[in-house]
This record gives sequence, C-alpha cells and structure tokens, in this order.
Amino acid sequence: MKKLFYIPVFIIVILIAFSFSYKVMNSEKIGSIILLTKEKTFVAGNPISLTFKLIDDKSPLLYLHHSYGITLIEPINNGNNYTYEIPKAFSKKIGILDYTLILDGNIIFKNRIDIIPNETSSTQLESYFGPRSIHAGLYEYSMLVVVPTDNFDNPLPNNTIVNVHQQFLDNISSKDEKVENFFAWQNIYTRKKAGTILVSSTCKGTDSKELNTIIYPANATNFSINYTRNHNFADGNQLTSFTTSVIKDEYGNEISDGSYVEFLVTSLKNNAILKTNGTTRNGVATAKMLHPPYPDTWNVKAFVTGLAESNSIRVSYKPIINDYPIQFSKDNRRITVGPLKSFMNQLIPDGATVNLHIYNENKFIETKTNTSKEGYTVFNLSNQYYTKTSYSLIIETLGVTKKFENLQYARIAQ
Amino acid sequence: MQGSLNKNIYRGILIISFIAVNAFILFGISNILAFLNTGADRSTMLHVELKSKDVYLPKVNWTSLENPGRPIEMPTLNKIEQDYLDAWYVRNVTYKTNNPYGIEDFYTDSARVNIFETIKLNKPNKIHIDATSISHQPKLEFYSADGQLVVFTDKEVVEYQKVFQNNNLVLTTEDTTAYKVMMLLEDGFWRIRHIEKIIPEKTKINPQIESFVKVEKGQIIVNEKPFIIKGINYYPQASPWDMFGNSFDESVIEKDFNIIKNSNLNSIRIFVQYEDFGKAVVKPEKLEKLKKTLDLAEKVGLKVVVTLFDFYGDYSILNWTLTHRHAEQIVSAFKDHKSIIAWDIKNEPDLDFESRNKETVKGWLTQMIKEIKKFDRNHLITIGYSSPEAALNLIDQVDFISYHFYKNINHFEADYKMLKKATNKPLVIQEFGLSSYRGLWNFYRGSDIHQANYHKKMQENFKKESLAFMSWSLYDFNQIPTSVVGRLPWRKSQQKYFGFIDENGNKKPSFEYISY
Repeated sequence: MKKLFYIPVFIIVILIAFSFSYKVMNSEKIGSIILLTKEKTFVAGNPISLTFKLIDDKSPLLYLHHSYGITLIEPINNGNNYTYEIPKAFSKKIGILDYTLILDGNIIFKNRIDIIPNETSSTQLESYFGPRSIHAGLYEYSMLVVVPTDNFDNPLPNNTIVNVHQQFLDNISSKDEKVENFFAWQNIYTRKKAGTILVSSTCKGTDSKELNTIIYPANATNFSINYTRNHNFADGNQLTSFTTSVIKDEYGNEISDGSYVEFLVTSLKNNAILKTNGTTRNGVATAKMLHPPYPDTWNVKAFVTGLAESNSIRVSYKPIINDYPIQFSKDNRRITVGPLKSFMNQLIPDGATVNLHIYNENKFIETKTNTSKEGYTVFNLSNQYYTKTSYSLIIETLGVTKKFENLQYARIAQ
Repeated sequence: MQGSLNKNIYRGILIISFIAVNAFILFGISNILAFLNTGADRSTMLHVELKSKDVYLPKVNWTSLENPGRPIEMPTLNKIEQDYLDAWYVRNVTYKTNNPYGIEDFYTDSARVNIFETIKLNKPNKIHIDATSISHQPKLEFYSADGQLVVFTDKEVVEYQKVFQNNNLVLTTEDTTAYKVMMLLEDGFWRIRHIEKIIPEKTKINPQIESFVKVEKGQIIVNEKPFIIKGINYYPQASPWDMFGNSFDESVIEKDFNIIKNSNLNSIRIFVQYEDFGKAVVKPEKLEKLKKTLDLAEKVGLKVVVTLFDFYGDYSILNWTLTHRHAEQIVSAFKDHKSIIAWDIKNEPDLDFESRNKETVKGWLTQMIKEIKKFDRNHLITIGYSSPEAALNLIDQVDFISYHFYKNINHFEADYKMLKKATNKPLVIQEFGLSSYRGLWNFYRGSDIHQANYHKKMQENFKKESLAFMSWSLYDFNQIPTSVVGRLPWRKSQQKYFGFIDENGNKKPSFEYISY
C-alpha cells in the first residue's frame, strides 16, 4: 500500500524535471549544444567571445544582428569547444545583440546578449542648445539637451547624472538632471533683464564647452516725446527736432537699438498729416521736421508701430512778419514783392514761397508761385496771356495775404 | 550702265555679308553665354527638390506623439518618418551591395562609421544581406524646443532577412525587434545619431472577430452554411486581361453575371493587375471600378474570388513593402464587402519559382498572407497554383487550397486524392478547361464536341464528390495580349477558344456542361 504512494510522487518529480529541462533547452542547450559562456551582459568596448560545446564536429556559422549591422562569423575550434569572437564593430556598440548558430541552413541555437555602455571609459558630452535668442520676461526659454556618451560613442544609461550650470549677471547656479532616452535636458528660462545666459554641463568629470543664449528686450511700452527748436517762428527754414523719452519694455530694459519710431504731425491749420521717423539708440529715437512757412500749430504723436505710443504734444509757430511792400510797374504787368524782412528785420533766407492768385471778374485764372531771392520776388504778367483789361490779384507769403481789386490793364491791339 | 549694275551687286554682296558676319558673331556670343549659364543648378545645394518616387513603404504607426519637449508639427513628423525610412532603405541597400552609397545622407558622421565598419567585415567575407523591414511602431519620446533633435522608440520592427555568403543562402529569418533612435536635423536631413537595439515589448494579439466566411471541418462556410464554389473565371469578352480599363462597362458585366448566375453557377474569379491598379499607390478610379463589379456580383448573387498581383513578378525583398501597400489599399477598401469569398494572392506563382528563386517567392507569399490578414479578417486567403503538385506549397498558410488542372483528364482523380491526403482544408479546382481550337496549329484535332465531352466528364467527376470548381472561361476571346501566353501563334490560338460562348455570342455545346 505504501509503495502505491511513491508512484504519483515519482511521476510529479519527473514532470517537474522535464519542465525545467524544456526551459533549459530553449535558451541554453539544444540537442547537443551547450553554451559555455555564462555572461549575458557585456560592457561595450571589451572583447566578447561566445564559446559553445558541440558534440558534432561540424563548425556552425554564427549570425549576429545588432544595433547597426548584421554579419556572419566563423568559430575558432578547440576540440569540441567552438569560440566565436564578436567583431569589435559589434562589441563596442550598446544594445541587444541577437545571435543565431546556423548549421547547414538550419537554426540550431538562438539567444541574445546585452551590451551596456562602458561607464569606466572617458565620457564625451554633446550639447544642443536652442533657440539661441529669446525675449526678456517670464515665459520664453532655451532648451539645453546634453547627450553624454562613453568613449565608444554609446549614450550613457538612464539615470546618469548630468550637472547643468548657468550664469546670468552675478548669479551662477547649477542643477542635476538625469539621463533618460539617451539624453538629459533642462529648460533655461529667460530673465526680466536683457543680457546673455551662459550654460555648460558636467557629467562624470567631463565638462562641456560654454554655450550661450541672448535675452533680447521685450516689446516697447508707451513713452513720452518732446521737442527742441532754434526759434518759434514759422520761417519754413529751420528744423524742429522731436525726441522720445528712453523707450523701455515692461521690465525696464531699453528696447533694442534700431527700433523704428514713427512721428505723426497733424497741422491744425489745414488738417494735413505730415510724417517723419527715427530709429532708437539707447532707447531714444530722434526725428526732424522743417518749420512751416506760415503760422501754424502742430499736434505731434509718435508710435512704435503696433506696440506702443507716446503722449500728444502741441507745437506753435509764430508769423515772422506782419506786412511787406509791393510795387507795381506802370502797366501793372511787373509786380515786385519785397523786401521780405524777418523777425529781426533781416532779409529772410532765400526760398520763401510767394503765391500770386490771379482773378478776372471773380473768375479764378491761375496761381503763380515763386520763391524769394535776397528778400525779393518778381512776377510778370505777360500781355500775350493776360489780354483782359482788368484783373484782381491776391498775393500771399509767410502767412500774410494782400488783395488788389480790379487793376486796370491797357487794351492789347489784336 | 553695266558698271553701275556691277557696283550695286558688289554693294549688295558687301551689305549682306556684313549682316551675315554680324549675325554669326551674335549667334556665337549668345551660345557662349548660354553655355556659361548651364551647369549645376544652384538650387541643388539646398535639399529642396522633391523625391516623389516611393521606394520603401513599410507600415508605420505612430503610437504616441506626447512628449515633454515640444508639440510636434505634422509636416515635421512626416519628414522625420520619411528620412527614418530612407535611413532603413539605404542601410538595407548597403548591406545588400556592400556599397555605402547614400549612407551619409541619413546617418551623422559618428553614426555612419558603424555601418562602414560592418561593410568592412562583410565585404571581404562575401557576406551580403537581403533585408527589409515590414512594419514600424514608433513612439515619440522627445522633440527639442528648437526643432533640431528628436528621440523615439520604434517599439516593434518586423524585419525580414536573407543572409548570403558566397552567394549561397545561409539563413532566412524574420524577427521582431525594437530600437531607440535619436535623430538630428542637419542640412535639411533628419539623420540618425544614435540607434540602440532594445528588447521589443510583447504585442497584444487582436481578438479574433467573427468573419463572414470561414473554414470549418474542411468546408467553406458562408452565412453559417457550407458553400461549394461552382464558379467560372471571368473576363468580359471584349476586354480580356483588361477588365478595369477604358472599356469597362457595367451593363456588359451585369449581363454576363446574369448569364453565369442562370447557368447554375454561384461564383466568379476576377483578376486585379498590379501595375494596372497603380502599384504602391492604387488609383482610386480602379478601386471604383472594382467596387462596381463587386456590387454587381452582390446584386446578382455571385461570390467572388479576387486574384491579386496579376502580372507581378519582381519579388525582390527590398521592394516587398511596395506590394504590401498595394494590397493594403485594395484589401482594406473591401474588407467588409459581402460578395468576396477569398483573396487569391497571386495567379500561378509557382511558375516563377525557377526564375525568381523558390524561397524568395514563398517568402513573399507568406509575408503577403500575413499582411492581408492584418487588414482583412473577414475573407479567406488562397493561392492559385498552376498544378496540383505545386499546391502542396504553403499548405498551412492558406485557408483553402486552389489549383489549376490542365492535364489529361485521366490524372484528375489521382491528383485530387493526393491533395486530399495531404490536407483536410477545402480544395478548389480553380482553373480547368479545354480549348476548342481547330486549325493548322493543332493539326485540326480540337473541336467544340471534344470540349463538350471534356466538360461533361469533368462535371461528372465533380458531381460524384461534390467538388468545388472554377472553369476557364466564359467567353472565347478575339485578342489575347502577348503578356499572357507569349507571341507564339499556336499558343495564342489555343488560348482564344477556351470559352463556353463563342466570339459571336452563341453558346457552344460545352455550355450544357458548365455546372452540375
């Protein structure tokens, strides 16, 4: 009776033994092949050889399939032991190396080894940093990606520590990042102050070179304008300069040099809009405008297009004369205007515009325009064109208008 | 008088020669300028030209685009995918030819040396590898803020390789692998910087879905009932071997389908030509015509065996993925079509065994079956072998066995028994027939009566065991394209007269024995 108990125990033991041996056959031993090399993990760059014990004395080929390539190698035979030296091109690169023993076109053994980075060799660092220019503020950043590799150009494993340093003004800081998926990375955030951030990194005693990103000022904010001029007379000759205050971004950085500022000048006299412009240097833009040739008041406002604007200012120009003499020739056909004298009784500089409007019986005929020379200007009414016996003339210059009604002209013989 | 005339002639000659010399000089100068303006197009310095030819199209499925770096833009992703596949392609070409042409475009300086070193091992040992990747499952891990660096894990790469040494095949292997890849954007190319082979994750097996058509106990089951194919190979009479061409006419096809249905047949076999349908990029108008044909078959009540890859004969491993995309587009378009009973991978592929290497052809067929099963689990798969002996190939891969029988009728039973013994999968005699051609080329031996007797006997054979058959063919044809049987007139003439209906539309005596 007791013996009967041994039978199932025996069967179970045999079954368990079989199940183990089946497993072994799959990975370590198929038929008469025994893998003598016990290591499953190798360090890149170290020589790797796989030795099999084969009962048959045929030498199988070993097929290798690795990260970059595929090849076949032949064994070195030593009795029943067959040793396969993994070529350096394969043994120095990390990754899973699948190998297959092939005999007469049949797969007789299949397994894999893992090649891991060589952390004892010297470390190389490859850094990628970008974008290389950002705006001051709170949100923008440059990204530093560091790929530490071993001496065989294999990325170091996950969780390798990379120390990332950064410097901005007086501030130098560093932070550890862990490698994941070949690389460690850190976002280098911008500052409120414009300037340059320098970064570098260290991994396993190897230091990277220095990389930098430039923080440019952010967008301009509203500003004020002012003007300077030589005198306040409307002489059509001097220049008035408009100057902005120092234009800054919202964080107090002077905006980038060369920013374009446009000044719009609205004449209150005739609503004409005049335009001038300047670019900034050290935050200040300057633009100039010729004085009007007649008394006027200007409304001036400046813009950094689409971003910022200034206050409005008013600039008034006084007349330089109240009156001037006009002489007519005997036949009224030669009209001499002048001398035109300025605010200190000096003859006004050449080039003042003088307009002569000609009417016949309230009908407008023509406007003649001359510029002054040495204080004078002369108009001639040719008898070839002005054949009527009566004309009315209006002369205006420097904001002063003079009227002459129904001047008589001799009848022209036809 | 004479003097002034001469003078004028001289003057004329002088003026004309002056003009001619000037014209010649101008012509010469313009030619020199034109020559100086030729040469390398400067735009080629930038990689802006479009490479529109698809050479490598494994299936790529991005499983996830979430990443902590920066959201990826679709055009960039497409470019990365394209360059990554090109990197695989040039690597495959390199290992096949041991010539590193093109490697530098897709691998960075430090990465490409690894490939060069492998070539240095393989070339002197006369090792070359014919390889392709069938599918990729990349998952984006990281895309940098400046858009210059990307890291992804290609979680499941199905790789197919044939390894040769001294031009002898050493190993054929199909493996599922996985890679972690870092690529950098350099001069307009995404180039591989690091690639590390890793252990692939276990794939989920798609749950088996209930298919329209299935095989149970050696029978084809349609709508839960056994279905015995009684069919015919079909081409319209006016456009044999060009069914989906310009003369495609639905009314003709509908009329023919009704003739077939009314003669107690239940199925047809039609042919989709690889090149005609547009190779890797299937033409929509061809799909539309195929759809109309299948819809008509459904309307009339006929089941269809669709034979793919007609007139395809390349099989080279590097181009496999192109045929996979061809099959994908057709098969997935009709995966729910009720009229289809089976996809016939290729007509008589065994005829290419000798010229294209038996193992390569079988490898292609096996892979193609896997591909089609990926996209369509509703319909069956078969291969139309040219002889009963050839049908023993890949017997485990197909759902039912199809073979063509053009031997002497006396061999029929023995062949059938041989196959029946080899498998318990359903058997379909997918082509058989006899030409009624009577003329110089067969010494006036054939005739309509001969043909009728042949079909009578065949149908008796079928009826005895309720066998599935598809005869060749409905019509006699006026024109046989040279690509079908070659130029030889005795072959062409034979091929014209296999029909049950003659060129004038009259039923031949054999029509009585079109079915049982």
